Amino acid sequence: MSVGSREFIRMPSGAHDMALAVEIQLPVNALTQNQPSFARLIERAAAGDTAAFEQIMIHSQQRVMAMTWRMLGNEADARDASQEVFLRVYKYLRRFKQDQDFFGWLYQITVNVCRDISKQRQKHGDRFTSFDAPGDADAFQVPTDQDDAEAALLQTQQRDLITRAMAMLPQKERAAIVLRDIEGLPTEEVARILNSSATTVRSQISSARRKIKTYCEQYLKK
Amino acid sequence: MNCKNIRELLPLFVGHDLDDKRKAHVTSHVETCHECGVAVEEYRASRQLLQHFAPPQFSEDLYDGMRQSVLREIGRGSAASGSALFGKRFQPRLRLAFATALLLAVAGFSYYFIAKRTSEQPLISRTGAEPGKSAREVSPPTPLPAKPDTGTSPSSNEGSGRSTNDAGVAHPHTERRRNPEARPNLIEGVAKSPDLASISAGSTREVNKLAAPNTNPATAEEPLRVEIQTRDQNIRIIWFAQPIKQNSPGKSSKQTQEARSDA
Repeated sequence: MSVGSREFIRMPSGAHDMALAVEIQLPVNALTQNQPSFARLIERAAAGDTAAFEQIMIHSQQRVMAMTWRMLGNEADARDASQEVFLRVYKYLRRFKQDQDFFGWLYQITVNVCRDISKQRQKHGDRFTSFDAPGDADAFQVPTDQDDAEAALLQTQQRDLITRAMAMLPQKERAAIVLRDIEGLPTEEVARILNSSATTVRSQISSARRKIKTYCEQYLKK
Repeated sequence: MNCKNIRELLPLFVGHDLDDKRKAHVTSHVETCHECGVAVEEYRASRQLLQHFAPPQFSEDLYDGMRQSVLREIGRGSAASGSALFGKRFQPRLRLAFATALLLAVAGFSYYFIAKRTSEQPLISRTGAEPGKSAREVSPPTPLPAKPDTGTSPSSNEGSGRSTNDAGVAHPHTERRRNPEARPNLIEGVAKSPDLASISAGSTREVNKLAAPNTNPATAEEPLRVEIQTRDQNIRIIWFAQPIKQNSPGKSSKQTQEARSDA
């Protein structure tokens, strides 16, 4: 199987009813169109071709940055983690087998790096830092039409709410819910990435959804 | 299935994570139970909120900088991989190994010296003598003048290693005068003791000295001292006896009378 031909690469099975993962459609489509060339890129990068490795980074950097930001909560940590992810990818790329799913492997490394950084952070006495404040994000898409200001405000409030809800989740539950509900991976794939069992992942996902619902309940009942 | 069981399955139901059988149970229950139907809608709404959990749009400069940093690290790592690997990974291990070896060496030396001291200490403390001095040089208890007994060994035999027969003949004879009931029992008890009997049969070292009364006034001042070295080199039995002066010429009449009453 060539890289990118997995179900995940095509599109998550439950993604149509979630309306999620919009930001990852572009790299997925690009990779789907260039599966053979992407496999060649991996071969060349594994042989030490840094130009090929840079192309791999360009293809996957948005996905890695999004994942690390969701796991760590701020841009600076996400950048450091993403850098470490790509360093590990380059280091262990020779061990990568072509019949493996590259992005599943990439997610596995990403989750491990985020876990290491979280441990270091806990060791230094830092708890989970709050996510980047939604209000200060100039990078967010600001509606140009003034009529959409109210909708933008509502969207900001919702984003703030779900961000706080995600921040209170334990590390493992957050990783499970991000991979399953946002990245749209199947439960078995999530279990493989988290080096756990499907039953455990279902339990973590169930717990996380219940906590998020309880947290947002007050807002939803308004 | 009641509502309680259904509520447990709702988080997985809204995410299509149930098998077909359970999914059918929950679907049929939700169609008839209004409260569970409301709970399902709340779960779906909260899941819809997850789409807002998106990172900000990071700038291209950030991505460029990250890629350049990675490529720089890769180039640096390939240039100095050997020394960096040694410095980062093995140096702490070597430090740990060195510290452990040092700790073991200190512990070994400490154990050696402590064991050596404890093996030497009992002999010194029991004999009461300083190292390098004989037990004889230890200050004896307050000496009492000893009355030389006729027919006993001369003082020239001192230190020559007397036999136990000498001790049994010469000294108890003197002691029996002072306490005719208790002392013989002690001597007999010592003689009959199986341990000391075997000691007395062992060697001449077992009785180092028996200071018998003699006619020499200088040596007659010293108390009787019997040392028995057991087979255990750390155990030595030292017995001091106070000799009794009898009819010593030149002494007061009171002392003479006291000696007579002892007899």
